[in-house]
Amino acid sequence: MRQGDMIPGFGERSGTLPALSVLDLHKSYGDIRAVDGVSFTIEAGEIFGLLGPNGAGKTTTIDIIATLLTPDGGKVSINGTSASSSVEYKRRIGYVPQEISLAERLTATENLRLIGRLYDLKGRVLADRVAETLEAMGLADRAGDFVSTFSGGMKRRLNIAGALLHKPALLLMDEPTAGVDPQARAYIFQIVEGLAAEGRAVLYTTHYMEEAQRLCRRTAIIDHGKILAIGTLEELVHSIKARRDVALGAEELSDEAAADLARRLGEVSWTRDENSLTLNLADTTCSLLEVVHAADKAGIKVKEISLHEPSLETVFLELTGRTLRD
Amino acid sequence: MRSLRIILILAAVRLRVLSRMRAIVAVLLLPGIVLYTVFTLIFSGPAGRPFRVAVVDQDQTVASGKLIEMLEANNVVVVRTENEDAAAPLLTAESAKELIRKRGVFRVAVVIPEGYATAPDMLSSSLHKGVDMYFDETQPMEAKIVTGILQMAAGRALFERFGAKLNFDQSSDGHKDDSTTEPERMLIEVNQKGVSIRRMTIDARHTFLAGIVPMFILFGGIGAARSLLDALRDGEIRRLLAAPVRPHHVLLGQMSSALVVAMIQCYSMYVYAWLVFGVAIWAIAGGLVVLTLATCMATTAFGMFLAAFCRTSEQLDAFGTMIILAMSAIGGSMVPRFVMPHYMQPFGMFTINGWSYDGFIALIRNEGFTGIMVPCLVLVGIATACAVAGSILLTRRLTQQPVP
Repeated sequence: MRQGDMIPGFGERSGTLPALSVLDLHKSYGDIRAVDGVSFTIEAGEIFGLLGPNGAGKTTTIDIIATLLTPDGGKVSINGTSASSSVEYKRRIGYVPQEISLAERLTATENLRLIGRLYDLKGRVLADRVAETLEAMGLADRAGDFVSTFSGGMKRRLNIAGALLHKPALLLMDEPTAGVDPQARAYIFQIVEGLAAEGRAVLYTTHYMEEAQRLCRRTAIIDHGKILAIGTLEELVHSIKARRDVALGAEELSDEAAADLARRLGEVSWTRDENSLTLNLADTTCSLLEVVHAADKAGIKVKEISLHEPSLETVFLELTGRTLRD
Repeated sequence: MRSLRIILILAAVRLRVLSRMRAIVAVLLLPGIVLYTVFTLIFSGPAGRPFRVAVVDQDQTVASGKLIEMLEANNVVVVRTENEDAAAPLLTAESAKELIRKRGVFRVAVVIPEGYATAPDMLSSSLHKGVDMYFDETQPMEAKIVTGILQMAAGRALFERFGAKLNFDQSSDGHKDDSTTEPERMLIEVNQKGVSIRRMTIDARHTFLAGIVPMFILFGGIGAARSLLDALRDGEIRRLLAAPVRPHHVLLGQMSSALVVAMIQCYSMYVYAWLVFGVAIWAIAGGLVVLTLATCMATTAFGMFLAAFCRTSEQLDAFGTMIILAMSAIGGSMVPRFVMPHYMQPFGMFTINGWSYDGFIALIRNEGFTGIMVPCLVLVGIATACAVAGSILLTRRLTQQPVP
């Protein structure tokens, strides 16, 4: 499945555009502020990442949106339906919990039938939805098997399937790839991208940078219950004036030659270590080819060159002063 | 209506999961049967305990006084007046019989007839007439035990009389006393007269069935509570609550499945008791269903309350086991309440076991629905209180605190 492919059985979009609005959420446990003024919106068809280390407030935020926790303050609404109108609101949410919340002694079909019935699906409609969802998740051939016989990746997929039966406008996915192998993770990515392509909004929490970077159009970086920054990768990088470094190795290098090269590139900052030079191109738009030409003119014979683009890791490090911890 | 449907869906799934755990099913059913068997066999014989026995002394002699004294020395609480107040009218043979027949105040009454002192035991002379004993025909075990105690009392009186006889002639106390005959060779004759109250006989197989059943379904309730806590820990409850389901649906769904399991537990024990010990469960079938349902409601709701109250399985096990053992001991599950000291017996009314026990005994006494009405109402009241309190606690816990 490629990014943007439709998932069988999930082709019909709901009549209204799904969008989540979260405004100034607060939640404390005693003296600990788990969520402290969190606000963001998600558009229909958007995969929105909530990136932060364990204990940052991701799960508390998602639990409040899923009405599992009562906030101390703030508002949440989906397409204008507030969380206080619980049943209607809940029907618009598909919740994929961090844990594998399945009954191991029920079959895949029985698990999905249970969840579907809680959403008032019944009869032929329920049977069809269960079959469609299992097919979409690649589990149709294991429909009658007990969940206890499933691999970790299969359980994760079934965990996601439970959130899709009632065709929600918003999917809340709380670290849905925790503990799965790379192949299963890639399959889950395809599923998520397919769902977004259908127009469903997805709130995706993770503490894996590469997941957020690959999947999410926009990402919010959260730590200690506060959102530190929100935006696309480019916006986040721009917001912190992140370094865009070129590392250059030469046969011979002097400070004078390095300074000459930096001047030719527009007075960029640089550091030299023996015959290695690092140039920070954050404020320029020059390409690697231009760097090589400028080096030649500065009398530097380039042996190797590499570009280090800023990533979410860079942004996170800049914003929090630490790396993501597991 | 939707709520009821959700509760039934959750209960049905829980039962389906449970039915696939065969080891658990065996654990649910067997221990109760085993313990019931053991207790019944152990306590089928006489047991030492303090008995409340109505005593009517029509003889009013030293010999009759000595017999009463010896009864008291043999762990019998002798009651001589109608309401145990010294100023109240003395018991008569008729009033004692009425208290056995109608109000169940006593199960045994001993009447020492006038002329008893003429021949206080069978060793004293052929004129010995013995004493009369009235007893509740439904509970003959206690009459047998008191008869034994009377023999011991007579023996001790005889022994003391032998010792006293050496100087008895020198120290007559003025009482009418005809005990100066030659040494006796036999003990006292007890003329047992059953007081018919048209009830079934109550013995160990009934009392222990009445006691073991609530104790074991209380433990079953703890098992259901543990599975609720496990579901909380594993995130199953979070997924349910993200759907249009409320915490009280989850609690009542779990309680409903536990209720079905508890009923199966109870009836497996009843059928066993019928097959092996001949307990006439079919003669009280209607009342038994109602009482069992009320008891199971109370025990499962109590389990759910504990699940909502305790944070972890470890807390639940420690706290739950302690409470259940205490309730079972006080409520008569381990030892029938009539065996306990008199002051202890009312405490049984603070337990689920006590009310269930009383209801069962009422059924065995053929008191029918009238006899179980109060116990059932109390048990349903306990169930309602526990379910409401559990729902409130669980809702507060799930929506205000992070799920462990």
